[in-house]
Amino acid sequence: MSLRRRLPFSPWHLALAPIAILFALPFAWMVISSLMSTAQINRFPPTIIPGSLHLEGWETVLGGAEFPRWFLNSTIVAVVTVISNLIFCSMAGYAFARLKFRGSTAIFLLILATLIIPFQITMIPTFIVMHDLHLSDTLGALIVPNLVTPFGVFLMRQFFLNLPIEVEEAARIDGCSRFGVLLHVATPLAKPALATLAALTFLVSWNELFWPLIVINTDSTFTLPVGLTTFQGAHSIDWPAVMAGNALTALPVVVAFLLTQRTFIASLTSSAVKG
Amino acid sequence: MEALAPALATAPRRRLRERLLGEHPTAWAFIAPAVVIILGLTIVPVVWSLLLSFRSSDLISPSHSVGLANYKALVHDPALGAAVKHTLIFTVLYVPLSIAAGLGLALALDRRIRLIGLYRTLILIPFIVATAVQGVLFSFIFDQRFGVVNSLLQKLGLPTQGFLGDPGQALYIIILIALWGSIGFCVIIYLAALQDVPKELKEAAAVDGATRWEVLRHVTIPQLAPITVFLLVWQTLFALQLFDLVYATTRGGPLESTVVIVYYIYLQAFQLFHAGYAAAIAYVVALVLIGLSALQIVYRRWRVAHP
Amino acid sequence: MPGVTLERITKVYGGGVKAVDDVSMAIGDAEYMVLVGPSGCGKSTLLRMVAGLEKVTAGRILIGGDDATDLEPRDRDIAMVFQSYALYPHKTVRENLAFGLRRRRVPSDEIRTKVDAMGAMLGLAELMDRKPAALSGGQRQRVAMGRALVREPRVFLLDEPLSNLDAKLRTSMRGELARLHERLPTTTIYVTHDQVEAMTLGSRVAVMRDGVVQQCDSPQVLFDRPANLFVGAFIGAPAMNLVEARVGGGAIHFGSHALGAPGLEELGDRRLVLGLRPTCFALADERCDPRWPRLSAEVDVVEELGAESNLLFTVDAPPVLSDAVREAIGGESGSDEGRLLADDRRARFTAQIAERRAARAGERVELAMDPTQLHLFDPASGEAVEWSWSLVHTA
Ligand SMILES: Nc1ncnc2c1ncn2[C@@H]1O[C@H](COP(=O)(O)OP(=O)(O)OP(=O)(O)O)[C@@H](O)[C@H]1O
Ligand SMILES: [Mg+2]
Repeated sequence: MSLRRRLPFSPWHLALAPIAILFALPFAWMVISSLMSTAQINRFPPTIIPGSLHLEGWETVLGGAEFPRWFLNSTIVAVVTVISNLIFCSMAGYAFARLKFRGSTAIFLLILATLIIPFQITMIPTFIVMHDLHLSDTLGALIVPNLVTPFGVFLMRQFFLNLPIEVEEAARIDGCSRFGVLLHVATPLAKPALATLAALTFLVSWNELFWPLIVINTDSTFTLPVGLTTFQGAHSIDWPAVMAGNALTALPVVVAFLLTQRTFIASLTSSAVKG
Repeated sequence: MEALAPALATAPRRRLRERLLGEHPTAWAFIAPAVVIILGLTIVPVVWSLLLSFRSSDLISPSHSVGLANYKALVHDPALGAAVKHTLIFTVLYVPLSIAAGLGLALALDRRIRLIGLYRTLILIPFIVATAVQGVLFSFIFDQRFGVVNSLLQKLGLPTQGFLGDPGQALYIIILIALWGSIGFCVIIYLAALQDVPKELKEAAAVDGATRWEVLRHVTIPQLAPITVFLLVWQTLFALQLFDLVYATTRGGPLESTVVIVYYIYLQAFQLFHAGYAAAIAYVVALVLIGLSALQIVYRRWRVAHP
Repeated sequence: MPGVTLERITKVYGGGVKAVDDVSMAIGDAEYMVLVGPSGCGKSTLLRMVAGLEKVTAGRILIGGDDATDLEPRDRDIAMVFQSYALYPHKTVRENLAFGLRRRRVPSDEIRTKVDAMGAMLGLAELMDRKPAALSGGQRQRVAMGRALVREPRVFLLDEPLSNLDAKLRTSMRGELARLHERLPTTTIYVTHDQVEAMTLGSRVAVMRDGVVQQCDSPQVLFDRPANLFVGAFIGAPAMNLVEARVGGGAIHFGSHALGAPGLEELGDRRLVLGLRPTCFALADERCDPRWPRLSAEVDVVEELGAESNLLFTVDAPPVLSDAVREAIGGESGSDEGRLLADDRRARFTAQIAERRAARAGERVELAMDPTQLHLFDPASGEAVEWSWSLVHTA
């Protein structure tokens, strides 16, 4: 009580501010060291506050052939995956929510069940399938298995189930086919769910390391996470460049997160809290 | 009116198709991509994997059946035993610590004061960043020679450490990094759940004379039980499947002190090309994981039935 | 032939619920057909089958003479107004009105003209650029009507379009709907559970119960000659007074009362249900037709309605508690009332007298009854029992 009266701010800040800084500090260090020279870092013990700024690290990363290529690859994979998930998960989710057809319950339950199947048991056969489709070592191998995800189908189905059905019926009477209803009425109303789906799909796709590591062998086909870990292995002396590459990999998700924080957080919590 | 004529002609055929396929045969077109991709690349591989686990395969040349040999071998594989041990150490420390820290921070952050949004954002950002980024970043921070932590220790006159380069420390450093990277997730899940704890309940307890601690202990935390169970399962599943962080920091080293199960499966399948053996290990692990998920589902059902 | 024809329509839902059972009816061009009945009787289901939103289990639907049984809703050239209005929440009023025309590839300048005209006609001109969330209940209702009307469909379907409005608005809207139909005569099927709406709007009314059409005729015929006990009890407000009675010796006996009317002899001696419209009563004085049967009653309660009064009294004979009556009078309150009355074994009657201050509570009055508004039903089947005198006088 007395503490609160003496402080011009809530005493909670005394605990929360240092913790928050602890979470942010590594990123600050990442950015600072990406702006140092190798000489500044290679000194022992290394400098913490650099006297001067150097752009060599960023030049290595942005001027080289590798990182821009990886950035492009990551972008292609993420964009295609997000768009195809929006389309295919909506379609499947809508069908499971609204259309009556033989086996709909059984198929939906089967799709739902795949949610708990861990990746380790499917990865070897999937690798062989990609090989047989002549997709291994191409971006196609990263895109095809993620074109549509069970979580997305589940999410969209839940959402469509909760839309008032009369609005869709009105559209059918007004002249829409089933697909027209989805296109003109259900999808515009599903914007919040689509935003959630887009945010999560992007996040997972952009950050994925394990699967690309398995199917991609060629440098020029790497995505950023694979490229980054490989680059670090090869250039562990050039820390400024590694940190610049690191920052470059982190940047899109951090920016996307800061711009659409509400959607992101809603997406992350929706699966857990609402179940 | 003209439009009706062809419809009339197709009516009986339509009826038949309906009886076979249900009211909306077009639904199949809607779900086709999902069925092909999800079932084709999950259900088929699940069976395929099982068959593979009874064979010896290097992924390239024709495989041959070995019966239960792979399963027999994995029981006696000391490297796998070590990987299991590392995984369990990781799980036993990481899961409770992340949940406890997540709950504590969520409770601290669940108030309306200035800058609270900023604090929440800063704590969550590590989670949304790629594990590869986390791993590379901390490889640098904990670097023996050039890392900032050793530099600080030096300045404070303390002995410098091996960290990720020390077989005795590496696994624990990885746990630390994993905590930094995932506490934010537990925090926002708990924060969201805290919004759903009925305010009247806490007020009623307060009116009944409970102290703040007692309200927390007897009202708030019990109300969060379903979420705690969810996080427990979720974090355990994550811990048992740890791979990215190990790959991005130590790649199993030093002296294989950080080889965890999934990393071992990866080595067996894609570095040593023992695909059949890797499939067998993967199957055993998967059964444990599926069992855990099933427990969680059963718990949810039970919660709904016994509110 | 325009209009709508239903041929032996049956609907069985997945769970085995028979919602509509072998319904046939022919609705003429520009006719206003009202489907009425208690909750769950299958009105909406029947309407939705005409719309194509539900598949029929058996039977045929003809719209404008063409078989539409297996057509998609969009190919039926119908429009529908929903109870919840079902406006497109993400579209403005203008876009809501234009949506159906646009799907039908109407040229955009024609759309503009039609939508503007409809907006002006329904008084929506100022609201055209608002979203539904920014409209009041009455305004939403008008947009829903406009969206259906602007398409100029062959058939117009309405499912309880007024039930989300407050009582006053509902009454004025009812008048508006009738006027609208005068102006734009389109074949219309209107579903409601409110018999006042049914009687005031319908050129014909189909009374439904448990998926079966009990009677389908003009409001006047439904009122004057209900085909069975259910229709008799359902149509009319206040509801028909019903009492268990016996006919014999040319008179109807119930409790200590006996009503004589010509022609009753032909019915012989049997148990019946007697139904008396509240409006059939008048105070027995010199102005009354002396041939009308009389009844003496002690008034319990008087409800003054301004120009007329309702006299509530009981008669010393058992009320009718069959399922048909209970369903017609309505769920909870009906059955509660039934239990209360079962105790004292006395039927409650209402007499609507076209006079102000017709009596005081506690007073004993002599009432005369118009025998043409006197109905007899078979107690087992519920079917109306007709006898020559009643037929002559209501024809
Ligand atoms: N989709 C459905 N599946 C199964 N049964 C249904 C379905 N829709 C309606 N029913 C049942 O069919 C019967 C008729 O329902 P319907 O909606 O046609 O009644 P209604 O006359 O419109 O009633 P209300 O006045 O309450 O709207 C009811 O018993 C109802 O429970
Ligand atoms: Mg209805």
